[in-house]
Amino acid sequence: MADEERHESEIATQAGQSVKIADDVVAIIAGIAANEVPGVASMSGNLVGGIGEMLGRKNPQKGIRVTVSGNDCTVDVYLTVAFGTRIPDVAQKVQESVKRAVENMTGLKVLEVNVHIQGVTFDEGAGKAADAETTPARGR
Amino acid sequence: MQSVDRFLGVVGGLGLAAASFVLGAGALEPGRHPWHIPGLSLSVGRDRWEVAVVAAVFFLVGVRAVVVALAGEGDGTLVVVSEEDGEVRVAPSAVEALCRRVARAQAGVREVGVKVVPTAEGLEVRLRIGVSPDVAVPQLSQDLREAIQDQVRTVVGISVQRVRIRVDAIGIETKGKSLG
Repeated sequence: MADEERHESEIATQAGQSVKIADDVVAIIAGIAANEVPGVASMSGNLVGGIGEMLGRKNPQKGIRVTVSGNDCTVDVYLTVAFGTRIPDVAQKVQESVKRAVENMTGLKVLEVNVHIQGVTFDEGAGKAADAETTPARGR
Repeated sequence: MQSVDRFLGVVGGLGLAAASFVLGAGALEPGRHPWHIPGLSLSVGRDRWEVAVVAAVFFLVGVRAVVVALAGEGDGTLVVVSEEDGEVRVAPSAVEALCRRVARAQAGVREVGVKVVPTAEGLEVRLRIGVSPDVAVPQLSQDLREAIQDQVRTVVGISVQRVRIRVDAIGIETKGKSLG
């Protein structure tokens, strides 16, 4: 039942057929791509995701909001960066990485990747989030 | 705000709103509202309107706490880069965390409170600090100003137009505390 309510995007292939991709899948691809960028400390999720994470549930689409319109999509990424990195550099790499991953894996055209820096994390051996200062995110 | 804080904000806000609602209803119609708990009836008498007003205020506070806890990042973010491929926004709290870190690293600074205010020309950083008694405040202020402008320009890519420093305390042993 839940699957029937999932938001999906239909993408036309070269063979004249179409493939349906759930927006959640696009978000997961974007989330993994963003997480792999050096300098990204963590993704910023919402309240429900945070509680789920405390209970041990992994959420690879955390901090990602995807808006799909036809074959185009816009991705919003909410994250915290590690202290010692330059935010514009990290953000640019996130934009490139997310755009490349989503376009290569789904065939969707990524119009925009908006990066929202929610905090800076100071990792001094006491855990990544020990001294992080963040604001609530609208991401997932 | 961390997830646990937001969770506590939602739970606390809902609890406060529910309790004040029951209190207000109990004050206006003692013993007749559906949430009446036998043995816990209020003896508010002629003060019931005052109790109801106080309950209404607490109800609004509770609702406000829930809204704040669930709110998004709002429009207070700073735009660092805006291009066709997308834009980069930084939350003021991230810049504040950076400034706090820089200020704490300065010798002679004991306590720090930071507020970042976006202005038309760039950023204004307002610092409230507590300092050691043996420190020269003018020199410390100059060093702090330069360090913050340098770090924010390097890390965030935004220029700080102004750093306002207010010394709130001198020589008080309150290590680990922060101002504001």
